[in-house]
Amino acid sequence: MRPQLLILPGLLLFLFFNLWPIVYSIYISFTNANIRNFPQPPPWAPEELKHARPPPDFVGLANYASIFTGPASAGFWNAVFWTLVFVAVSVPAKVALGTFVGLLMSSEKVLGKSVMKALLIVPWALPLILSVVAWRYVFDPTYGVVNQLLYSLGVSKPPDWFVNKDYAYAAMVVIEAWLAYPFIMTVVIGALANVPRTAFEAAQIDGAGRWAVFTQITLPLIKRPLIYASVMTAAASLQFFLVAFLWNFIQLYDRFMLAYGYYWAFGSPFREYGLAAAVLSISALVISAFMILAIRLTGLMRGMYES
Amino acid sequence: MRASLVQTSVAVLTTFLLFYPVLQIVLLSLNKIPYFRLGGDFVPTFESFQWVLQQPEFWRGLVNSLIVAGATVVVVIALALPGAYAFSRHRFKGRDSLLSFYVVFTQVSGGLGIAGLIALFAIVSALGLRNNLLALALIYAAGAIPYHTWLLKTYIDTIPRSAEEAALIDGAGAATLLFRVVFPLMAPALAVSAILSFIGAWGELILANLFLSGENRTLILWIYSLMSNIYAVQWNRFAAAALLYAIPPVVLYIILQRFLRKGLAFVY
Amino acid sequence: MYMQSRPDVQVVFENKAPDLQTAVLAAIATGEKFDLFIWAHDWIGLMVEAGVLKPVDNDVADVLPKFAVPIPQYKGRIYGLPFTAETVALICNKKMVPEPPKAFADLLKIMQQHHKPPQSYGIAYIVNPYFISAWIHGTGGYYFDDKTEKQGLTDPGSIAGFEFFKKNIMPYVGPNPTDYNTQVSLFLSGQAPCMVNGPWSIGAVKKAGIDFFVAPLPPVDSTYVPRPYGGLKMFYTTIYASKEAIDFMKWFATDSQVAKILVEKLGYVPVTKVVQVQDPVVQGFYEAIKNVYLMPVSPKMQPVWGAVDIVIQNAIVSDQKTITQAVQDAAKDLCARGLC
Repeated sequence: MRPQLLILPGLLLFLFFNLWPIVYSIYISFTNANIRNFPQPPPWAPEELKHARPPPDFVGLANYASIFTGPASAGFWNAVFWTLVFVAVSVPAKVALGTFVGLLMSSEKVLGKSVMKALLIVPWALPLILSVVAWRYVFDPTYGVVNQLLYSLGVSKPPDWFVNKDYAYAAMVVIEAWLAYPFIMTVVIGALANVPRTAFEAAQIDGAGRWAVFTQITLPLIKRPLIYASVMTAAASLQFFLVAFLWNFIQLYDRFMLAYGYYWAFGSPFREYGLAAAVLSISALVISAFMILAIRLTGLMRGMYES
Repeated sequence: MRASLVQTSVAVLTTFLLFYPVLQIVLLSLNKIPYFRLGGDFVPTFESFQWVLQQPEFWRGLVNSLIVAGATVVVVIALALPGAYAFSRHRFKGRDSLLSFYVVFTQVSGGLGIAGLIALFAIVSALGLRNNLLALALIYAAGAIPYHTWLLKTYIDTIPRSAEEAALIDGAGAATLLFRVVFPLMAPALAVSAILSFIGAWGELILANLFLSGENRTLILWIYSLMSNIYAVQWNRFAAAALLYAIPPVVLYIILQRFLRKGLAFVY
Repeated sequence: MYMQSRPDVQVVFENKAPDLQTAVLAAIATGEKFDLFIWAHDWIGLMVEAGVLKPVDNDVADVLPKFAVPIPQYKGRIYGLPFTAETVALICNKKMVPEPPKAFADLLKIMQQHHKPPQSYGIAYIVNPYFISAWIHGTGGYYFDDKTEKQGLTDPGSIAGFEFFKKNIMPYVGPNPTDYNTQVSLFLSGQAPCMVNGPWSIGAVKKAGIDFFVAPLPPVDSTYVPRPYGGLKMFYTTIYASKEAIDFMKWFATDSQVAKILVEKLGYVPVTKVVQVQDPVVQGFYEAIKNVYLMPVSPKMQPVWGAVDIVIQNAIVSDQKTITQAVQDAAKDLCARGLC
């Protein structure tokens, strides 16, 4: 059977439901689509509706121009900067935490691993709103455990993790690390499970110290999967939005690319869909560029074309 | 090897710290007091869970979520597997570029955007498929095709061709090849795909909220509505409902871990 | 009740929480036919501009005289009928506060008396643009002028209002001041003598078994009377509204039996002339309504809510910026959207 026929059904379904909206979004970013003219009424709609809602006008690069030079521009670049900072800070945090836990859970010297692993995987599986609610309790300015601890350690005025912009940002890093560590942990556990015991035993016989075993044997073996996981999780950090939105959009909207686009689109009197689409298109470009760069640098695609 | 007290203690402490936020929610669900009582007393009771299990919306939502997630799994596997096989075993024009496209899209697909959302809404409405659970499953499946095609493909790469070659020599057609020969060997990878696509469909909120109404609303929408009550949120009930809702994904993830350990290093 | 009298008509309710606005916009624009939806009147401008509503001036002309409040309009036309008025008022626990405070000085004394953190706090106040609007309007300030469609955050009256709130009320507010649920539960659990809230919260108060009264926010002096934002909850008639739907709306908004149920069961303040208000709770809100400052109907108001929220978070609930600085920054953002 021709291979193309095997691929076609999946490809078509995907194109129909996923690609078309994206293409449409890109188209919209070149128009002045807003609440008054978008979406367009279907053919069977009453005439007054069609009359009241003329189609959006084509405005070329006007939306993109306003992002780079208009009232939204200073904020946009600020958002891009802080998003990159977020990636730079949260990714090492996630990977370090996930690796640490992964190593612990692969150690033969630890009892009760199955129970612990089950508990540790929970953040990954919990619905996001529940996770945010849980962390709201933890960071509650008066009764949350974090501030209670700080208070008992002698900090007279513990910070407000919601209303204070920088502390809210810090809280985002912590929460993202918590949400993502199970993924890294799973990768590490999986990779280590495939490491032949003989390698460790040989090192033991040779009298290698624990640190040497770790750096010379463990690390190189899990390096590739870890890099893969880091790249994936960095993409998630770049697109970080929902948690910030649920936590305190007012303080955090100008620290994250996607949040910023959302703010300008829906904070505007007429819901500027065109502008939002432009922001999202640029963000998508940035993310794709990042992904392609990361994949090239880490040589992840090397084995991809083989079969 | 003998267990180490130091390592085990560190592990226990770490697990406790990382699980603590969830622990609070568990305590909240067992508490008698409904509102967010700051620093209040803890009066343990199962009332909230009882209340949740008595709500018809809970059961209706549960059934709906199961239907959507189940259908998503079926469609994903049915469409991604043949595609994965084709990518793995054949070379043809455009293969490499299409594969790269699938991989990159997987990462970027998150920020679909409101305009895309409304475009999707318009298409689905035009087809008259809006308040339809199976249509929603199709949409979820569509978005998952690239990732799962790639995932399954990399697994098939690791299967030696000998079985297929033997079957081909025996004159097997494409269907036999796929279903009788390759499929049975794919069990671990198919399990991974099934679990991941199930969990994705189980937890999706935005599209579900936009498309479904009334009797068709999935469980996560009901839970979200418990939290959005402008009068006074009953936090203990919300917590109980959310915990019950979270059980299937957690259980599935634990099972998934087992499969991943069985040597799915092919992913890397 | 309506369906009993008109057997040929079926009324179906759909709860589209949490985002009614998007649901309505998406549905109408893609051709889904529904007749009415309910919300406070401030969406009227936005909805008309989006082409969602149908003017019904002629259809409802016959019942207009029955109303005791102005019917919400946009650019001179009517797009639905209100059935209750809502605003925020002072709701106090009679056990801690026997009599409604006559002046702000009395309220201040009450707050100071009860402010003993962490056991109890001076007042339960949800610090967001809607709830604190009364103090800004009282000093002659405003968030937004509906007629000129311009923002008023940098107006000296507005700044004075913000400063007043920060100096005289903010210090006595319970923890997590921006969180609705926290503040309400403070009051419900007896940790605060009073809360500032609207009729929608009365159900929870009654359920908690609190003996309470409702009173308008007390004036500071004869020139400074707090005037909170208020809304008229109304039916909006969509472009697909059928004659039956419009008839239903007219019946619901003016029928005395319906009004009676709304008043007694839900504590809603009536807007028609037919009903006698006897319930003291409703009476309390009724008095509060007398000072109300109707929310603007222009769609351009939408970003102003967010802007004030930012001011509150940066300058009132925390000290990240001074009030003057915060309103100036907010105004800059709003000017960029053409609201100056």
